[in-house]
This record gives sequence, C-alpha cells and structure tokens, in this order.
Amino acid sequence: MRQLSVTSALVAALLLVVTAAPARADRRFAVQGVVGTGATLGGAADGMVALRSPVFWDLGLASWTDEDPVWWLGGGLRGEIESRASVAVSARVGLTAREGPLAARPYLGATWFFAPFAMFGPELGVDVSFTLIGPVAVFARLYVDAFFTGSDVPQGSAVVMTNGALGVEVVF
Amino acid sequence: MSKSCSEVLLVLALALVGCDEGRCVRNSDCPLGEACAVGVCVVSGEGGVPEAGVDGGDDPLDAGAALDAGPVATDGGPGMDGGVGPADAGDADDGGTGADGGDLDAGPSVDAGLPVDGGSPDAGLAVDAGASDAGP
Repeated sequence: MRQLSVTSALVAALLLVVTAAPARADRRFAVQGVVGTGATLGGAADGMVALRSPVFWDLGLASWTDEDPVWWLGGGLRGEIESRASVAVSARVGLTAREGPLAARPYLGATWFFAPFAMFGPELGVDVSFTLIGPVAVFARLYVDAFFTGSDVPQGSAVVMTNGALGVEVVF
Repeated sequence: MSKSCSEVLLVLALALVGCDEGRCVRNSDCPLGEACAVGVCVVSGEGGVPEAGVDGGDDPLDAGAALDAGPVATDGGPGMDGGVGPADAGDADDGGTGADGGDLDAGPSVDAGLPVDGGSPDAGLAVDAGASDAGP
C-alpha cells in the first residue's frame, strides 16, 4: 500500500507537468538523456563500504514557464545496466540560475527503485547545461540519493549513492 | 575502508574506482540467495542446513513431531520407514532437508507415538522413529 501511494504521488507529479502544458502556451520543456555512474556507500562492521555505482541511464523531463523561469518541475526514468538491471522513477523540483549559455539547476527530489527490487529515498542534486546550438545543450547532473527503505537496502542500514551523469538536453 | 579510499572519496565525489570490491552495499550486490549484512554477503536464513538441530537435540523427551519440518515426501514413505530405531535415524531415508534431526529420531522409546507416525505401515513398531519423519 505504501509503494502504491508513492507510485501515485510520482505519477501525479509527472502528470501535473504534462497536463499543465496545453493550458499555458509559455510552458517550456527540456528533455535530458544521460549516462552515469559514481560511488555507492553503505555501512559495514568496520565503518563504511564504498563501491562504484552500477552504470545507469537516466531520461529526464523538466518543465517551467517563461513567466517564472526560475522554478521548474521534473521527473525521470532511470535504469541500472551494469551487473544488474533495475528501473527507478524520480520526481524533482528545483531552481534555475542562468548566465548566458550556462544554466545551473539545483533541485530536491525523490527516487524510487521499483523493479526488480525496491529502494526509496530523497534525492539532492544539481543539473548543469551548456547550450551549444539552438535548443541543444551539453547536460551534466550530479546527484546524491539516500535510500533508507526497500528490499535492496540491507537491514538496519542505508544506501547512499553519489552519482554523476553526462549527456544532452533538448529544450522545446 | 582504507585511508586511501577515504581520500579518493573525499577528493572525488564521484569515486569511479571501487575501493571495496568484493564487499557489498546493497542486497543486489550479492549472489542470488544471499543478502548484504554489514558490508558482506551472507546466506539468507532460508534453506535446510541452517535449520538443522531444531528438532529438539538430545532431549529424550522431545518427540520431535512438532518441531520437525521434514517433508513427508522426502521421507521415503512408510516402507522405508519400517525399520527400527537406527534405521530411521534420518540419515539415508530421510534424505532431504537436514532439518530432520536424526539423532532424536533414533530414540526408540521416545517417538513411539503411533498416531503421529504416518499411519498404518509403521503401526506396531513402538521403536519406530518415524514420528518426526512423518511430520506435517
């Protein structure tokens, strides 16, 4: 039931972004595709264990309006493709700071791995994009996920993932 | 974690090189049937071997039937269970799980309970240790 409510919240957030589009002609969208890895940290009897995070892909969507270009809402679909295959969804809300072709977007969010195992926790990150030509930009994301619950989290422990990803962004 | 690893993690938020290969952080880092516990993979609590010994040990009063989870199907049935005491000690005939504490079953005067013992083929053998073998 708890997983169902989390799913509903994430889906509702994404639907809110998508369905709001027709009502406001000035709404903008950015689609991002990245590949990344990083470090995954967890507890151990002798302190902490650090492993390289499985390589993953992340397809993201962000939306904002020209009237209020500072705030943005977004979400994403992530899949781990190294040594396991898993899928996660994320919801994010953040701010945008732009300087010429460079934009930085710090955000808060939540990520839920739901198949084949489960992990849920908050996410903190920053997106950086550098516009190359027209709507196309080089896109990088740094994020920290902390998972405290789920079948993939060892009992009595937590999993912290510090990841980075690089790809492209297209703004519509 | 070694000091060098700590330095790598502190300097590079993205530690692209794993410093603790061979250990685990998530349950999915472990092989199937194992789980991650305090950084190492351990066998999950399921399976026959870890349950061995739940059958009352050497307690002569332990009839074994209640605790014995030994599956009836692997017990070879009444025919194989027909021997007295030691033959039914859960070694060969019981096969299967290992949860079927053989020592206990070997006690002729302990597991004499006929009703518990899988029915008529074993009837009359008061020394039949089949009580726990015929467990639920």
